[in-house]
Amino acid sequence: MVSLTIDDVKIEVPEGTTVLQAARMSGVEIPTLCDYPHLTPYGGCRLCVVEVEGARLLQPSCTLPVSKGMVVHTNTARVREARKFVLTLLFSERNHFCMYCQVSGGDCELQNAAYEQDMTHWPFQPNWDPYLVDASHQHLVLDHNRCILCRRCVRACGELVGNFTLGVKDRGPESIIIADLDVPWGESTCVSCGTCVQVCPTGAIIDRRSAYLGHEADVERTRSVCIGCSVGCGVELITRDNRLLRIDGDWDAPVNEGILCQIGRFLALDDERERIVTPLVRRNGTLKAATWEDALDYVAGRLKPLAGKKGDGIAALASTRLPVESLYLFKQLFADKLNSEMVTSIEEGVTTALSGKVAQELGRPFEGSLERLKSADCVVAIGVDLAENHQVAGFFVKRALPNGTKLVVIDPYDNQLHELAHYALQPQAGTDYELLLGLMSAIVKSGLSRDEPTNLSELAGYDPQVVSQVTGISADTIRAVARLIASSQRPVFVYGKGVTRASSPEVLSALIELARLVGALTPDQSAIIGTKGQANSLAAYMYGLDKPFEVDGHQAVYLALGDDEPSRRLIKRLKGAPFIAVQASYLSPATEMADVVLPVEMWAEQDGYYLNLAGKLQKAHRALVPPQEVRSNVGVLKALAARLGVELEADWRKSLKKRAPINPVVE
Amino acid sequence: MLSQADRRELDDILKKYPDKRSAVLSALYIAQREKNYLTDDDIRDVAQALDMTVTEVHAIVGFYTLLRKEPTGKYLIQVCTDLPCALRGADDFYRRLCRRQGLPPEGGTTEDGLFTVEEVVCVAACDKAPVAQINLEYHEHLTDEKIDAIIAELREKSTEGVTAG
Repeated sequence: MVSLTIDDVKIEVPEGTTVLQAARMSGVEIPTLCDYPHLTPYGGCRLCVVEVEGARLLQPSCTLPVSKGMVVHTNTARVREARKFVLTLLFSERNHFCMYCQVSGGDCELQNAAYEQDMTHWPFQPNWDPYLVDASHQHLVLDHNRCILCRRCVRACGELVGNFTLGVKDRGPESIIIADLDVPWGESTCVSCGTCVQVCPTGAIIDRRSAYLGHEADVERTRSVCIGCSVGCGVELITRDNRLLRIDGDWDAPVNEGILCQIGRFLALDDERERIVTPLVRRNGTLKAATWEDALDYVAGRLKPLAGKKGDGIAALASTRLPVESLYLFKQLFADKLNSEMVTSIEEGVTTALSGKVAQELGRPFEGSLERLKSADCVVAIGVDLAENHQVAGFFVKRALPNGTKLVVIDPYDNQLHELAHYALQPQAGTDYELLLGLMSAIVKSGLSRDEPTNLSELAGYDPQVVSQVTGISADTIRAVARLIASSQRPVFVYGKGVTRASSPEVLSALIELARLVGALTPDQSAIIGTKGQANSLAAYMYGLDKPFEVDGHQAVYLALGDDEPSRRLIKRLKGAPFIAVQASYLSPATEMADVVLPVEMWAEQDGYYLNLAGKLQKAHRALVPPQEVRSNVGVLKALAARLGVELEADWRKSLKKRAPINPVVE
Repeated sequence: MLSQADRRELDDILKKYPDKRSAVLSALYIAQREKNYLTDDDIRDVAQALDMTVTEVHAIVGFYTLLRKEPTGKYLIQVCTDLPCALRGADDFYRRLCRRQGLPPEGGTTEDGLFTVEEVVCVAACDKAPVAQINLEYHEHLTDEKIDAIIAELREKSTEGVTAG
C-alpha cells in the first residue's frame, strides 16, 4: 500500500494505482476526456492535470502512478486555469459548434466538461477548415469535425476487440482517425462491433439509427441479455416511447464486459419482418383475425384427441431462442402431459447431442467457463470460426494475440481466423481424429504431458509421421503444435459445429483426452468450451429437446417459434402436415402454412432466463411493451394447457439440473 | 516490398532489440530506401515482420515527415527556402529550378519519375545557402548552372544504369 494526500485528505491505495483512480477512491472527482475506465490510460487530452507538490509542471493524473508521500491538489487556481486552456484549445481545433451536433445538450463529454469549468465561450478564433465526414459505414458515421483525437475508439478497437482497424494518420492539426491504410471505413476490415461508438465522448462517431432520436435524459435503459447466440452478452436496451433506439454493451456484465458484435448491437435492430398483432385462424383457406378464445379452443380441440399417440400424434418443435421458462412448459406440455414422442427444438440437438453423449459417458460435465478464454496463453480452436459466429468469444481471442497468446486453428474448411493463427492447420476433411491423436502422441513422446494418457497403446499407432500421411499436415508441424500446446500454462480448447456435426463422438473424446493430457481438464476446472448454437441451446438440451425432428405421419405440428425465423429446410418438412399451429412473433413461411397463428412477444418484450454456452444462467428483461393482443410465450403455453385440462409445474430450475450436464449450471 | 537482402539486414537489426517493434523506424527506412517512398505493401511487410498492426505502422509513417507515402522520384531534391536561405536568394533559386524542370511552384516529380523537387524548412546549412539536399547528399552554394549540372549528371547516371541493367 502507498499512502498519499489528495486535497488534504490522506489515503492509502495499492501500489500501481494512478492518481486519478486514487482520487476517485477518496471521492474526489477529476474531469477527464481521453480516459475511459475499460481502456489503458493514454494521457492525451490533459484535462485531468493536477498539481503535485515538488513537481515543476502539472501532471496528468490518469497516467501518473501514486508514490509514497505524494501531495496532490486537484482544484487549485493553476489547475483550473490549465483545464480551461485545454478545453479552449480543443474547442478551437475543429468545428465544435454544438447546435448541429446530436450529442450536445447533455450527452457530449466535451460540452459537459466545458460547462463544469464554467466556460461560456472560448477566446480563440475557431479553425474554420472543414474536415471530411466518412459516411461509408453501414451502421456508423465518422465526423472528423467533431473529433478531439482522444483515441478512445482506436484503443477500444485494438484492446477490447482485437481488430486494430482504427488508427491515426499524420500529426498535429492534420491528425485524423483512419481505418486500415486510410480507406473508407465501410470498405475497411471493420467488423461493425460498434464498441467505438459506445466509447466516443463527442459526436464524432454516431450510430445512424439512433442519432437525433433522444438524449440520455430522454431514454430508458434496461439491462438484459443478448440472445443472438449462446455467448449471452449483457446488453443495455435503450428505449424511448416504447421504441428500441439502440443497444449498448453492458460494461458490468461479467460475460462480455461491455463489448458486443454486429449481430447483438446492430442486426438485432434491423428486423424488417412483419409483426403478428392478433391471433389468426384459417377459415375457408385464408388466415383471418380471431379472438384468443377461438384460436386457443381451435388448437386445443385439434390436439386433445392426439394425446398419447405415438408416431401419428403431435410433433412439437420449439425455438432455442425462447426463454428457459417457456422451454420447460413446452417440454412438460407436449412430452410429459400429451405424451408425444416427437418433442424437440429447432436445432434438433445438432450442436449439443454429441457433447451430451460424451458428458454422460464421462459421468460429469467437461466444459468450463468463458472466463478461461480471457486469460488463455494458448487457444486451440477446432471446427469453429469465431469470426463468423459467437464473435465476442472470438474478440477475446483476437485481443489477447498481441500479448503473446498463441492461436492454433484446426479446420479443414475456410476459417477467418486462419490468417491470424500461429498455426492454421487444414487437415484433410474427416481426419481431425487422426490429427488430435497425432498431437497427443507427439506430446507423450516429448515428455511434456502433465497427465497419464489413458489410451497409450492406441497412441502408438499415431506417430506424427504416420498421421501426416493421412491428414496432409507435415510431421514437423504436428510436433511443433504439440510442443506449443503442451508447453503453455493456460491452454484453452474451443470446439464448434465442425466437431459436433461429426457423425461419431470420437473426435470430441479425443479433444477431451488431449485437454486432459496437457492439464486443461481437472475434476474441478475445465478449459474446454463448446460454442453450441442459439441463445438457449444448452437449456434445450437439458430439457431433452434435442432429437432429430420428423414430421411424417404426425397428425398435428405445434411450432413454438417465438421470434425465430424458420429455416427453409424446416418449411420443406412441414409440407403436407394435416394441422399446423404456430406460436410466433413475425409472419414467416411457417405462419403462411399454419392453420392457427398465436402471436407472442419478441425478445425485447419478454422477461426470461437464458443458459449460455458455459452454463451461466442469466435473466433477460422486458424493455418494450408488446402490442395489445400479443401474449408471452409462457402465457400462451399455460392457456393452452388449461384448455387441455393439464397442470403444468412452474419450477423450471429443479428440472434444469436433472440431465447429465455438459456444463455445470451456474446462477 | 522488402527484398531478401532487406529482410536479412532487418534480421540483423532486430537482434539489437529485446522487442521487435523498437526497430520500426529502421525497418521503414530500409523499406523506403530504394524508391524514396512507402507503398501500402511496404507498410504491410514491415507490420508483419515486426508483429505490429498495419494501422500502427501507418500511424508512424504519417507522423514522420521523412517517411513518405506519395510517389517520389529516385532523387529527392529538397531546397531550404526559410528566412536565412531566402536572404541569400534560395527562394528565387528554388522557383527557377521548378520552372526549368517543368514543375509548378509547389514542386513535384519530373515526368521521367527521376526527380522530386520540394521546398523544406531548414536543413541546418544556412551559411552555405542556397542549399539542396539530394537524398542524403548536401550540395552547397548552389547556382542554376551548378544544380543543372548535378541533375544532368544524375540523369545520365540513371539512364546508363537502365541500359546497362
